[in-house]
Amino acid sequence: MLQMLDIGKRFGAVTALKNASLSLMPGEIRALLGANGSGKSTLVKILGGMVKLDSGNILLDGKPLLIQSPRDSRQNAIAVAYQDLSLVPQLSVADNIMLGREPRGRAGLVESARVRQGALELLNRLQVEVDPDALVSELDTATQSLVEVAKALAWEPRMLVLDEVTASLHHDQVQRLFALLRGMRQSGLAILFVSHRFDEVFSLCDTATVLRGGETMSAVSISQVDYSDLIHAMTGKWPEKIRAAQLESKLPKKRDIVLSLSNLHVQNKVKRVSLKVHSGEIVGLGGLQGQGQAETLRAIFGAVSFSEGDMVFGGAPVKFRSPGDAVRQGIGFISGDREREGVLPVRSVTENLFLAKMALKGFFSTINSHWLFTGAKETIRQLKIVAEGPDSPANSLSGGNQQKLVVGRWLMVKPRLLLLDDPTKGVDINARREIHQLLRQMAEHGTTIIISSSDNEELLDIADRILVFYEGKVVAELCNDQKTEAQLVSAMLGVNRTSGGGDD
Amino acid sequence: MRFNFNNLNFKPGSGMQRNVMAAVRGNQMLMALFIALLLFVIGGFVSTNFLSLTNIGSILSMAVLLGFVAAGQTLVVISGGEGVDLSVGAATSLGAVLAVEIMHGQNNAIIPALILIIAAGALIGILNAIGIIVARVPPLVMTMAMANVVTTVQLIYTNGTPTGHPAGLVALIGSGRLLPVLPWLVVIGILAMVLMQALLRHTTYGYQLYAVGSNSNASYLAGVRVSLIRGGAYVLSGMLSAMAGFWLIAYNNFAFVNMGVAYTLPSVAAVVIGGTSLAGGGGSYSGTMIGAIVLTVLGSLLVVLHTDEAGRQIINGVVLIALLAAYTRRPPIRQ
Repeated sequence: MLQMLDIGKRFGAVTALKNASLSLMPGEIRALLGANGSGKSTLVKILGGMVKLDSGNILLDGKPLLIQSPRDSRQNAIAVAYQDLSLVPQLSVADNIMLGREPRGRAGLVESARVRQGALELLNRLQVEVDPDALVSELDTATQSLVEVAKALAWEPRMLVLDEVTASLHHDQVQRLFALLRGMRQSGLAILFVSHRFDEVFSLCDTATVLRGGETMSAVSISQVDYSDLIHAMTGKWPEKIRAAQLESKLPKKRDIVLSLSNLHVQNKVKRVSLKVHSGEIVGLGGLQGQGQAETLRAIFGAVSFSEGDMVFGGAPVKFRSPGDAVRQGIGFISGDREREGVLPVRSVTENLFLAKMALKGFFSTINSHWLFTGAKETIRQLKIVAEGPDSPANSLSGGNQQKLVVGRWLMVKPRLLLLDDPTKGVDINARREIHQLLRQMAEHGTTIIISSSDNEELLDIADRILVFYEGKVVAELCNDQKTEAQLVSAMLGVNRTSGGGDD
Repeated sequence: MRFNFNNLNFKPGSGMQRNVMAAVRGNQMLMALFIALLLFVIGGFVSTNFLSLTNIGSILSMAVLLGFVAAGQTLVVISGGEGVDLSVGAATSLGAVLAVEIMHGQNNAIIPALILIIAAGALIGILNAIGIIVARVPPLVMTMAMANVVTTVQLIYTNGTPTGHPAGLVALIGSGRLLPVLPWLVVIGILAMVLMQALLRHTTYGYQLYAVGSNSNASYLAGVRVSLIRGGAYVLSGMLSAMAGFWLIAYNNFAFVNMGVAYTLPSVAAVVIGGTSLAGGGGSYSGTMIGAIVLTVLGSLLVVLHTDEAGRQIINGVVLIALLAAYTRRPPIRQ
């Protein structure tokens, strides 16, 4: 039905796509896989009409198709749910879903009752419990993603493109979405599914197209491949080797307590959380999205205030009024939302890397540019950051490399405690592993690390100890042989309370 | 007059690929410089006197005055958050009024005058910063309201007509020349460029200012004291604008209430023509100076062409729109 042949696209000096090809049949669910920077998002944006292709052809039912704008895309029954949501935050859920296709009355005026009705039907099909009159800006990210999907479905497409929409969804929400998608493919809907989560790809998709460096590396049937085949196609390396390189056994030693929280309370989000973290330890915060992990980290860092509770850092009771105070005491923070809270998009790689260091220097210290340049080059080499040079703007880098800039920023100041809020969200496997290795190295050199993650594999892989959050409380603490996926998942769902960390 | 802006665009894939990123960042400033030179050349064709060293010197003097008013504007625009300072003209006026009133032609009153002018400018900036950062009034509204307050203060202080004139030494610097093409004001302008460049590129304040303008959330979470950095830009803007008033009376030898107000919007235009993005996080003061030269040459050229006031306004507007339209034609960066 749809074919994309030898698509090429450049952004300035950066080649995003060359020779990317893709085909989609009615009723087919195809996964689009690739590391960050492999061109997945660009390919999706070409389909959606957000980006114009430089070379190559798109065929629809054998006829050439020219997509110049989102309107062209929709007229050809292609609908895209974007990863970086295309919702208008100030409009209501219903208005967003029906945006551009509002039912009109005789005078050509929008009939808001029918808008609401249409939106409600879609939301019910997706089984999302949300008030259609609520403003999108008031919703959590998971619900926003589902509204984005509903918005795409509102166009009654023949082809549906889902660009990492499951990234922030809970397990059960994903299952409900998948059930709906499976039903819709029966009626001939073709789906292109972009995801970093392999388990989802294997449970939902029939076929997969793998991109690497903007080129289509393979197009396969899911039933004939396994994880390692796909990882090989994405990265060019066999996964066993990468795994072997990073397996360094580390014996947990009893060390000083760096941070202790008792009965931390953040309004509506965190309820009486207590924890102790030792020097050089990597503590994972697990749980479903939005169970208070993010707020706990931000409360420690002074980015949100806590109403009750005590915090002791490095032996002294503290309460930071702003992140600036926390940074001066030797605490660092990495957000997974790199666009909003990570990189300085138009500034250079160097400036991004030195940001925390500059913040520590006050206002009127002088800067030696040569020193900055050599320092940046060294870090670029050390973190294997792919950039044209230290002067390239951060937004010319791929997502994974942008996130490495943020990690590098803290590597330069060597904080005593590093807090990470879902740091590898939407980061490809290779960059993720490199970031993990860096964190381990930092831990070995005495930095204490607290990391929250929506990815269970990541937590099990990196954390010495996992605290599981549920509805704002720590409901389980998993270490040693309890640190298994099964234990983690059951604790996340609030099923099985092993040891109460927060209720006593 | 017709310019072909396309000639100036760096096209991707034209064999300059490696330099494209670097070139694009310097692009707008180079473009503005080229336009300034072009306007000079056109002026030369219209009137031979236009390219005389004295006339070039005068144009540069006037450009430097605009450049002084636009100095603080540059900082505020770089600081982002829809930053703009519409009180620069009023602060300039206040600086001018204070300068003549305090100096009254006496050389030994120069230092007290300078101190008071800078203090008054700082006060305007502090009030702006409090309104914008603490009370969260949008910068456009806050600074516009502040401009009204400052104008009224001048009226009350002077009863409508400031008395006095600049000290002899100041007037000498304001109108004297080191060389025919190089008035002392231009020397001071060059000095100001060096100092602003040092502030922006070689101090941690400048570094953090760009960071805050580019992404204030990210800067905040990296430990940058965003409020102080951004507030500081408004305070510096007030001080620099008030100082501009001092040089304005040095050049003109007299003061009147609101004499700086005509510089308010041109200061924003100079910043933008010089390549500083209104979105914040990028730009330079040398660019602003070049932008000020472009606007001043254009103004003089229209006078030489005997264009009437209405015609001048229209051409000014059209040229600004053409420039800004040309600026947006740069190669997209990966999103």
